[in-house]
Amino acid sequence: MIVVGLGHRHRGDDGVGPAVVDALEGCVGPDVLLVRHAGDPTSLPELWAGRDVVVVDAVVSGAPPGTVRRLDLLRERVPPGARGTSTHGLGLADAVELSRTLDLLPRSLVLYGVEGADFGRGAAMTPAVAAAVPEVVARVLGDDSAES
Amino acid sequence: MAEERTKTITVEALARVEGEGALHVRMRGDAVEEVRLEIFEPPRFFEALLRGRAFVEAPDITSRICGICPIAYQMSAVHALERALGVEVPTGIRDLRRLIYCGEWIASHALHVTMLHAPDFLGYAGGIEMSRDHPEAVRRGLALKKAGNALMAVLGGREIHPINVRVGGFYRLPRNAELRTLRETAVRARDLALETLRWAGTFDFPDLERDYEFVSLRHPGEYPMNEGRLISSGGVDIPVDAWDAHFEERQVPHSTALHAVRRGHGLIFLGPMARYHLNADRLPGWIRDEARAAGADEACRNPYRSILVRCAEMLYAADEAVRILDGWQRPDAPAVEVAPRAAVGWGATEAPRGTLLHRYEIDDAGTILDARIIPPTSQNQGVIEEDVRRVVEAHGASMPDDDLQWRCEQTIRNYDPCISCATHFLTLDVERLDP
Repeated sequence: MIVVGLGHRHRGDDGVGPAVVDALEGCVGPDVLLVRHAGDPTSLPELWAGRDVVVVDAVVSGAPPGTVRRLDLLRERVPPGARGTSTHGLGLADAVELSRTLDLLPRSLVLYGVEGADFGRGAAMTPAVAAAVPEVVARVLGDDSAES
Repeated sequence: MAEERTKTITVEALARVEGEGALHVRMRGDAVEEVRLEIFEPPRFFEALLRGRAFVEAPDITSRICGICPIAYQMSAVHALERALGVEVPTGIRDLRRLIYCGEWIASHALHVTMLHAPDFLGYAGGIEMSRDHPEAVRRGLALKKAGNALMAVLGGREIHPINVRVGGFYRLPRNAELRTLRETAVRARDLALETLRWAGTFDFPDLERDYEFVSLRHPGEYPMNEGRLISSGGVDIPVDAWDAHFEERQVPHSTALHAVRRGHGLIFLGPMARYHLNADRLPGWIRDEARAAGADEACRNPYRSILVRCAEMLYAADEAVRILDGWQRPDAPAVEVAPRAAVGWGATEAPRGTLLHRYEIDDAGTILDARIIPPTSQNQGVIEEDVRRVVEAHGASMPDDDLQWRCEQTIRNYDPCISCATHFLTLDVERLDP
């Protein structure tokens, strides 16, 4: 399994993806690949092709901050806000679409989207989003054990 | 009194991460009154973050400014600090720095050429749309990017925010087996880059010649990456630390970015076209021949053809990586020891999108008292604005806002600025006033 934490630590709630990956360090077996990703997502298709993948990212949907949503991205569309405006504008939705056209889709692709509130420069995660980190960690670990 | 009619198009409400861009256009009747490109630049935020930190932290902190060009930030930081402290690194370390920089040029150019710029010439909204009809071209671009990332990952410890670069050298030297694999990767990348250059040479390019003052580093024997004097097509030829005497950054009210100009002259232009114009004689002859055959000779001043120059630089970077890997001599130690003292130092290296300058002032204990970062995008910003203004002057009155926005984005993409509006996230405000 691969767990990809998307986001930028220096941008408030955008840091939730890397924060979840930090918390998973030491809690997962050697067969789980942890990825912190703030660069452009065009490297994702090659990375995740044919594998079981969990992506953690901040989303903006209007729900209360800290709300966690689980989506199957092979069946559902990427919600707005999830990497919609990441580096150089290519986003998670583009990475999924690119995987589809180049035949590099993962075997499974789950997104944990954490509703963010503040993406300010240099800001810390808001308390509600920081409080959601353990929940996401537990659910990711649950996915991992369900698989193996 | 003219009645004000303001029309706003918002492409993305929440621009975040690396850079953010907005373009404001004000027209009175058919006349363009104002064109303002607004860029948020992370470096300003990082300058404040650096003050009070230990000098050895500068490469790691500044590498986080950009997910696309972390090596450039690390390299300018280590060179500035080594210059301040009078440190010389051995050839084996110097070569590895050039090698990791080759990786970043390949990765950055491959992304821009394939996913962002080529779709403009082939009539697609973006790389994803292009991949449906041209999957081979996209696969080739992604393979090139992966090859560049492999060079960065092996030498830098990891590819996105490399952690292996330090003042004085590296924390760990690569193993011979890793270097053998990298050589195969670089040879393959060279083939792919040549195919990409020839492919881009088949595009149709609009006629446009711009009168640029090109600025880049120039090295006595190499195509410039890590070292050299700063020269320009207008006759500047100075050591890097004389930058302030010849250039200046101007605060413009509409942007957090400072605009750089040559004192007493005007706008300057950096990046692949400038490097190529000023240093083509430092390229191997066969690469120059390929670039010319594709449609870019060194006199080229057509910004649309910058895609060809990026391809030629990818080809060079892959070829240079092979050359370095074939001749590399392992140094005695991964780094030379560096002792702090009160000092000031400038460093400049060639980021994929142009010369990136750092200046540090440190105290006796090595604490950073002041940091200055002059990124290429802000130095190019004046030229980009001027080009966009011409587009708006030519088409603003007749084109619907959607089409105008696309034309403006395409114009900006010619310059590969380190902002998200390089793709499709430009927020465009067109304010249309009655005459």
